[in-house]
Amino acid sequence: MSARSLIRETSPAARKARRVRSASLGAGVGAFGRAAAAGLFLWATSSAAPLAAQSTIPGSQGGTFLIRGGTVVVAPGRVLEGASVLIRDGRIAAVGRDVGDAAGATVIDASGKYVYPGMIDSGSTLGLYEIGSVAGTLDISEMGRFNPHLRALTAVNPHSELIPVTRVNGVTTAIVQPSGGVISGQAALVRLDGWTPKEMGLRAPAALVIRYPRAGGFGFGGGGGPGGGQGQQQVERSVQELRDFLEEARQYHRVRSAGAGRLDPVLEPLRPIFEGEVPVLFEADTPDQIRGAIEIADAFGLRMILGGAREAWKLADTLAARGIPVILGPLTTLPGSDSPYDELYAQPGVLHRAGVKIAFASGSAVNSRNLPYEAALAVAYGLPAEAAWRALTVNPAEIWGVADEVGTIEVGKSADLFVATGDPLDVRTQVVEVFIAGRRVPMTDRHTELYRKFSERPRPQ
Amino acid sequence: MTRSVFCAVLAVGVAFAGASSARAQTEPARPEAYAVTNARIVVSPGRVIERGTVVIRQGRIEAVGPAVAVPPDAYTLDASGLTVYPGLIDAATGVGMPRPQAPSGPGGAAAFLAAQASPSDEPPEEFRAWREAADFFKPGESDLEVVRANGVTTIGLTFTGGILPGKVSVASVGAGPKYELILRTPAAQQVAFNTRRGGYPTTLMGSIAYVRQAFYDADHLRRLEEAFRRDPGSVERPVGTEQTRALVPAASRQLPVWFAVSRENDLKRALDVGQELNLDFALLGAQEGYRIADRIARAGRPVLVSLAFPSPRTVTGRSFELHVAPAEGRDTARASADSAVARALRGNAAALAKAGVPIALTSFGMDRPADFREHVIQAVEAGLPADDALRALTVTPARLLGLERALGTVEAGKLANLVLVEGDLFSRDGKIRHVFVEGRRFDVREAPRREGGPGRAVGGRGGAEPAVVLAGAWRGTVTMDDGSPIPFTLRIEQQGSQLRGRLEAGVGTATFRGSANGPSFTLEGDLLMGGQVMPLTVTGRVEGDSMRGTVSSGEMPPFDFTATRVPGGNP
Amino acid sequence: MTAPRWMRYPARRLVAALGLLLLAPAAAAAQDLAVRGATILTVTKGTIENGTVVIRNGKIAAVGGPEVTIPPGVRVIDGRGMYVMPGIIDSHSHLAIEGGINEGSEPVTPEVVIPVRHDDPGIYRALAGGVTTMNVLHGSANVIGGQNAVLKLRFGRPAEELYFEGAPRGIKFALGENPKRSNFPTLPGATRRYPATRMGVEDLLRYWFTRAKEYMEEWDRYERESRRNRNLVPPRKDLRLETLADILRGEIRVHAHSYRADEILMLIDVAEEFGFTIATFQHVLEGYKVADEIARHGAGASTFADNWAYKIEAYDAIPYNMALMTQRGVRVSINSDSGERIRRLYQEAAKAMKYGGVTEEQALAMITINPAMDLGVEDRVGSIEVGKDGDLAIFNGHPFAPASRVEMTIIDGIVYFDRSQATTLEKLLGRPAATTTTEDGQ
Repeated sequence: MSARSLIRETSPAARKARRVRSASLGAGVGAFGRAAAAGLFLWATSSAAPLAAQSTIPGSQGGTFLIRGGTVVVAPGRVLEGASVLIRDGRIAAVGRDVGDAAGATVIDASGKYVYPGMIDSGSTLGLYEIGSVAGTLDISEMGRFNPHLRALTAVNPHSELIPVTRVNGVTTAIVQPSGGVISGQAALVRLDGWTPKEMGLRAPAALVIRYPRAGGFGFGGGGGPGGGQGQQQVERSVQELRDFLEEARQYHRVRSAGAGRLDPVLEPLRPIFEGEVPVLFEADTPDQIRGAIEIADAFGLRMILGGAREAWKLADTLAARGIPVILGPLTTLPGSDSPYDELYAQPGVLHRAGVKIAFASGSAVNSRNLPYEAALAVAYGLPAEAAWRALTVNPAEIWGVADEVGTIEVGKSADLFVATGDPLDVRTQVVEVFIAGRRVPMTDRHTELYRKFSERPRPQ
Repeated sequence: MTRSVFCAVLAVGVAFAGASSARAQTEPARPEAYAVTNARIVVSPGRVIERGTVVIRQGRIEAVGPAVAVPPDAYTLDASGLTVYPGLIDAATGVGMPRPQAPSGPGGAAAFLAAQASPSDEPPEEFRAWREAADFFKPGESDLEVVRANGVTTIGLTFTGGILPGKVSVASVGAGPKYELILRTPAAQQVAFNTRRGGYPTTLMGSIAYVRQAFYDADHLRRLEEAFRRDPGSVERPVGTEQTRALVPAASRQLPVWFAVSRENDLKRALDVGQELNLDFALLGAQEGYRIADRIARAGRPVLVSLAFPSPRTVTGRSFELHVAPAEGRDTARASADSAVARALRGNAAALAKAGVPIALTSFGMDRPADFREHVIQAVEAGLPADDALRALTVTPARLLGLERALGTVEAGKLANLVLVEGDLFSRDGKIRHVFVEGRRFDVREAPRREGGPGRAVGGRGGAEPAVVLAGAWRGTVTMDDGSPIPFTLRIEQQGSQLRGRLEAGVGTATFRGSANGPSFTLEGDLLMGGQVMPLTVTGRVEGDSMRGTVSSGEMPPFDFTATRVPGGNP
Repeated sequence: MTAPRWMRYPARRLVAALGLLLLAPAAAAAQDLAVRGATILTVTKGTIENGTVVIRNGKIAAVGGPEVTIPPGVRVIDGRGMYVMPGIIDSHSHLAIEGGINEGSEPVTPEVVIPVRHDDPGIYRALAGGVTTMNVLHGSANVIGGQNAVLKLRFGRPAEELYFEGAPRGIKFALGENPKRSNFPTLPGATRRYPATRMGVEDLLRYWFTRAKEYMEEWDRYERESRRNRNLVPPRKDLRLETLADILRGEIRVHAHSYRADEILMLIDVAEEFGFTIATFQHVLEGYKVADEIARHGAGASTFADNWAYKIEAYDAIPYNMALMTQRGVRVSINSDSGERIRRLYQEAAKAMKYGGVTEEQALAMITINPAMDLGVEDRVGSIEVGKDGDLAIFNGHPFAPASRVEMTIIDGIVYFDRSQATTLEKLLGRPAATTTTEDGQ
């Protein structure tokens, strides 16, 4: 692999020792949940044949490329007119009017066009979701409530049809995250190109996903639900369980750091969060939940990222003061029943002005390609355009710990960028070239293929 | 007992005591005649005899006037200081009528499957147009005591719920076996746009279509029957279901139709349907009638106004203010808006009367019929002139029940239904002392008043009834539009009337806040479905260990739910 | 935005606002209004820079440049830097329905009619997205669902005043997975509702339209014979069959929820066999595969811009659907089917330009004049032309530009949404709203 890999390997011993910890911990789910899940599965399979997506989109091509004569948006606020970008060995070899020796490079004329760093979706189900109504194609929500050992990257299907659809609009990198239980598992930051999950992985784990307990718990379906809690008391109990679990993990970490104890494959993945190596993405919406998450982060010395965050504006100053980054989106949901009509559209601007570092998430696989249009709504309702662009590139690169790899078009960084006819936030803009890790991505997907096929359909008599 | 009954009734006197059973053996004969003397007599709204006598014989008013002689065989009641009013008529009440039970036994999916598994020939509860309320009237003696304590001598018996639940009957609230109490049946055909679970119609739109079709079918059957009578050879033999046959009188204006509707848009729908079908109809309930009083007046339809005041939060149009209200001070502002709406709801009858709508005041839908007079007084305080109130409790309901020649005024020839009040009937200080029901005298004894009794509580009056205990866990089922059930659990925490709840279902989870008012409650919150958040409103009623109601959202209109209390509180 | 003085008296402000609302039904707002200095996207008559629109008595009285005179006394909105387009029309919504959107207990229920709930807050949110007219449809649980309500979003007015006066009647059909109830679990042991296949869907259509024809014949026979036989009784009035008969008579426009190419062709065949025309195929995500057939039949296509993969029948959905169908002569509109998406249909329409390159005017038409034609109200709304209803959406930039938002929504010359008066997050926080770019593009 030409790109530096930040993928954390699990030892073979750990893999061997893996056991379903969650079943014993997930008291609320237990046998009923599993039985119900089995029932759901039967319903699903009886009604729809499982469909395995096997994308026939051609693979990307490596090589040396010279993107010549465009307006290069190096980073927010840093624009080079009439500049070129030289890509070699997967990396940005040169940027500027004079890029030196470009021998052997495939030349791409970008005159009149713009070159942007690839956009980063800070929360998606890409690769875990194929067809919403077919359970067999979904790998998002596992059973059990405490699943720190689940790794999203494992289940990413590199050949999902939704991946090419997303990247040809300039989204080159995405957080893929599981969403079941209280501790959902490990999110992965992936490049939207690669033959295997590992090739796609840019950073894994990128974060441990904790869904702060809330009204939740599925009556059936076995997924554990958001938090698995029920009622206020149950939520409080759930929070206590989460704290107990983290406390156990912290003790485990201390013992293991002293070279003692037995390896526990469930607790082992939690160790880096106590060292600040891996951040914790807390999904929390209401002020109560957000405050609760901050308390836990403080108590355990965790590096916190806030996700969900539907009502984060109510705590904007706190979040800014604490330096907690916030992942926003999708904005395209309805505001609270008692909230202003533009609550979710205007929130990014409010948080930005309060000094909060924000990034955008599609929260989806289908709509990941529309990430820039989420940002556009935020701009329309008060977020400065440059801040929106930052929230699509530099901010997430920093938040996810890959700022030396992606997020800007600077020499030495991985060549994850795209060429467009205009502002990517403008729906009318066409993305004409996409590079991921220096590989030229084919500008085709399931949609362009079907378009071409049916454009050529002869007129019926 | 959290709130005192305004009065309690004592059926007094050896001569007048009425035991409801074995009466024929033990009850002494009624006096042949009775004379109420020295009374101020309100003959009818606006017609007062300042001092006079009412003579009663064999259950009827024989004579009324300032100079009527007391017959020698008459017992007398010296009514000095008392005012005689016509006996009040509560033209629509649930007193003595069965309430639909929330499903007992296994709930949710099991109940749904059981209903599917045993299709019976019996039509569903919601479609029983042939039933007459009289056949279901089973008053306990204390029920009637409570009614009489309010000065009410005649009641219209109505069903709760249903789409075509049956026909209204009229009963006296004297003592005696049930068949003796029934004054008239049927008096009206009751119709409502309710829905069913698990079968057509499961929606409001289905229910409206169902009602229209049912009346068209009845009209068709009538035409066939008439043609068949004229010339059996030329037409098909008329065939109608029990329900279609039962609707023929109502469909052909032989029997009035009462549409039980309370909200603004449902009132309009009832007006539209009633006019389309050319029915002789009235509106029953009409709690939001004030919002469209002029329209109702133009339609020329009478209204049997329910004095069950709804929660202000649920009133049509409240969402309009959402988007003009600032957030700071929103709670205060909304509370003051709530109280303005609460006042408007109590002023409903006044607004309708002012618009020229003939109204009757009823306890339809009230959870505590004992509070009927208190609610009447609140309606008067909210602007209903006393004469209009009296008319709405006497002359108008008498006419709506088809008994205007027998009831409603203190005039010779009418049934001897009288209320004797010390003071003003429409003031809290006025005390009901005696009630005559068809010549039978009942004395009303005032119950010991609770501290700060009714009408004295500060700010809590007008719909703020003590909340039922909702706290704990409930398990139940929401019925989706296609009849399929979604099981859920609901946990409620309660502080007085304030509620917090959490609902969990297979589709997602929701947190609620809300309040309870008597046995009714409203919860509002957000349902989390995956990443989607959907605002939800849950409204319902509790009866014992079961509740029923609807779940609605801005986008998805209401689905019915039922639930039962989970013993021990652990779902 | 000045310092929010009203914050000091929030309760008073609310009471004042409520007072206005209470007055609203009585005090009909002025229906005279003018916008001056704006870029006017007429949709049917091109774009006018520095344009003027004058509305008198709720109707557009004049459209033109700065030379257009505005009668004295007419409220003038300063449109400099603004873009004015016709009020957006949504061909498919489920907002404002009271008491259930699917009479799903039976698969064929044309007798039911959408009951309107005028105080649905979703109406206000849609107004804030520039929408002025919507087609409120029954859900898709039934092969033949209920009759629609075409509404203007006159939020705050009583229910009967929301109806689009004179709009033709419409009805919802549904094909494919939803009427099959494919994605709705049936409890083990419970009876499944017919149909469970697309074959069954076709069967139900043929069965019911056959019965409707018989019903029409029965009435025709009665009309003929009742002159001779005085004792003859009219046939039973059957609301279900009568509605179907009205469809056969062409009095009700059919809006058919559909996804797959085969089912679209099936419905075209059934309709043509029974002699009626489908007004619109709704969603019609595989419409591009049979665009020629749809065009030949004469139906419109009301679709999503790029929603896909949420179920099997949406897996071949492509955002080029809009362009492909347009290229083959189908009238295309873009609908919301959602209380959320209805707030940003203008952004969805821009996708038609992105995917397949339709012109700006064509893309704008997909949320204005084309859905107006879907609903048969194109003489009244859908473009900015003299004589049409004064329904406008005013943006702070080009509706397709990224920084644009709706500032004002006007119906019949009455302002129903005005961002400067609305409760916004910024105002709620008492913080000044940032100024945003108003130019088109970067």
